[in-house]
Amino acid sequence: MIPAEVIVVGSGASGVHAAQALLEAGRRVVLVDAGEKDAHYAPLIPAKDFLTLRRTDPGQHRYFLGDDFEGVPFGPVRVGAQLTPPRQFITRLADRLAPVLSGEFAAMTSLALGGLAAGWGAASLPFIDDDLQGFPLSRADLQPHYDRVAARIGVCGDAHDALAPFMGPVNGMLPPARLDSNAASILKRYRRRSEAFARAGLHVGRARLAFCTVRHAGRGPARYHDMDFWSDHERAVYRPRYTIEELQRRFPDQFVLMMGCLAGSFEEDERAGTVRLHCTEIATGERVVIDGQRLILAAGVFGTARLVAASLGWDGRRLPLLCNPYTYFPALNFNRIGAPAANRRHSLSQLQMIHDPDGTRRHLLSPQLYSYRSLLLFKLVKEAFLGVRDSIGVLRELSESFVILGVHHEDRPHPGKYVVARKASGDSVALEVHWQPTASAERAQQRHEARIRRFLLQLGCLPVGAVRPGPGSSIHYAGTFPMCERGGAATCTPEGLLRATKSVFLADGSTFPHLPAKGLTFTLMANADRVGGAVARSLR
Amino acid sequence: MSANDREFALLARYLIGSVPPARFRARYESGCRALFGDPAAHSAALRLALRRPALLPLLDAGCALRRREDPLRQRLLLLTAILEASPEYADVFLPRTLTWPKLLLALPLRGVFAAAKALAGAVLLLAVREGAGP
Ligand SMILES: Cc1cc2nc3c(=O)[nH]c(=O)nc-3n(C[C@H](O)[C@H](O)[C@H](O)COP(=O)(O)OP(=O)(O)OC[C@H]3O[C@@H](n4cnc5c(N)ncnc54)[C@H](O)[C@@H]3O)c2cc1C
Repeated sequence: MIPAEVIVVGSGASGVHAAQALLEAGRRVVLVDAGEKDAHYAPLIPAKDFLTLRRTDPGQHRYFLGDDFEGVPFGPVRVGAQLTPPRQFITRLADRLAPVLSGEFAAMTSLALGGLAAGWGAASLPFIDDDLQGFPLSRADLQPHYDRVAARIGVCGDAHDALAPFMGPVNGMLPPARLDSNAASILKRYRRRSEAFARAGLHVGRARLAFCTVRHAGRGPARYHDMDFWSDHERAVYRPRYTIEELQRRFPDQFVLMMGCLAGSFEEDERAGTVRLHCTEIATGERVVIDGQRLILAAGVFGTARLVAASLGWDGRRLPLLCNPYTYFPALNFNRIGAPAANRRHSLSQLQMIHDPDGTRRHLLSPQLYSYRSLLLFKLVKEAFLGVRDSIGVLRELSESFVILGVHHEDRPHPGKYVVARKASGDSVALEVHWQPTASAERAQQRHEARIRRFLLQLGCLPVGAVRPGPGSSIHYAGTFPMCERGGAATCTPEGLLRATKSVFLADGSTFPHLPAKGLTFTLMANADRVGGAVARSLR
Repeated sequence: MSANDREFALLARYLIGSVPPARFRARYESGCRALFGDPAAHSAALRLALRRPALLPLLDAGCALRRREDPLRQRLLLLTAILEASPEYADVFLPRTLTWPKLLLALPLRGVFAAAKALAGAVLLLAVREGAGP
């Protein structure tokens, strides 16, 4: 039995920032994680830029295609297709040990060290008060936590561009990332007519990324190798495991890390005011028990739902589920056709847009613009409607002017969208997702997308299609145990306490009652820092 | 030359104009095994292409329109991926920039040819029924 003041389940973006707040407040923390890692591909990738690797590395097929060709997907575009072979460890163990069943909804879950953010795109957009409708929190409540998290992870961007009113201030922003040739031309075009665009509700600025453009917290600076989907040599893109390493260094006497442990359930001893976590060591199957005064669940929305349902016997109970609907538009940037493009670039989002469709700021959209190169040509060829050889010829000439605009839509709870736990073999619990969005929400999305297409055209980009990878594909999950001022057993207090319990707090997306159309992860981290602080205070 | 050797040589010559060294063939074969479970193709279109290599451009274009999951197309895509991820052939797949005038002339021409090929290929595929013997 291992004693702790606070047990945290999850080493993802949420868990590590909750743990850091607790450790900085002087608490003793045991952090439990299943902890899958990639020891296979990372050592194979030399620290060189994309073009040099392509032209010189005879071993490149191993990481670009995968030793089992797992990087050559056939069939329709699906959730997870964006994970390159070196990133596929993120979901491997979860697919085996913690699957989520659903006909229509493709859930991506992780049992890896660092969770899903071991492969995230690093877009870090703070929520403003308009985004926080339905939360029992304001931006002012989150502000110190955004600032603290930004100082830890390093967020780059332009604090004064057209996006500022939709982001609010964040302290210590790093200089914006270098723009690639596509993005630079589109931004130039936008700036020429920025007032007209603003009147139409479109605002374009530099991407806000957890990306060290200068040396920061021992990471970076970015070398613009365009290998961000494959390797992490200079650690420019933030990954939660860097926080774990830092916590191990800074708090050797307060912090215990238990990797390779699968948490199964918890039980409370209300009289003693303690909580016990039951885990299994994955490698040996041995049972491990951890006792603490507080438990923080940051196992990701599905992982946390599974743990709560298994512990409280919530077999068959419906829990609301949120996930931003996602569409992306491949487009040709006419400003760049025929022009050579710079080699040095990053692979993350280049430009951030905000669209305020009705001028009320209540239904903001936040499309992100990417260029296409480092995912290799064959994936584009596969989607084209020309023969393979013809496609290679045409796409080679167009690929430097090819952009992708990813559009997230907001999501709100609805009885047709829920996850339900079912008792499976032994004490394990299976999760089933049901996803029936409303017709009116889908109509609104189509209307918004039609406007986005028009904006693309006005920015000199010809959309050549719209790809909807389907429900679940944004990988932004939330809403199962919403935080609110007053609510039932399956809700949380604003501090993250699960009302069905006395000592179990939730620090991941489970508590978000609404999902604005912005990536949620920066806010997940800020909120986890807030919950960690509240738990530390509750122990005084 | 075995059937698989002939298939590899045919597809490679079609894609890049030459037959790559043996290690690429081994990679292609393990790719077929990993992705399709079977190194030998079961596709009437592929069998026809092996018998009549001159028809391959039409069959490739036709599959892109009408039989996107056909083993012929899948094998071409796999070989594209393998060749692309190698220093020897990377340049065949890396972006190429053309001047506007060249683009204005070359692209529409290529588009018209490709569309014509796709139509002819689609018609040809109507005649090539699955299960038809070699
Ligand atoms: C390809 C990709 C790109 C993305 N891009 C962006 C982006 O640009 N911007 C953005 O805002 N968001 C992005 N996201 C989403 C973002 O990654 C997630 O919102 C975020 O990582 C969720 O963090 P989390 O800690 O709450 O949960 P998770 O990442 O799911 O972490 C959960 C952790 O808990 C552990 N765990 C779970 N169950 C158990 C158990 N029973 N026992 C032990 N350990 C357990 C897991 O091992 C994992 O470490 C992206 C996601 C992906 C996959």
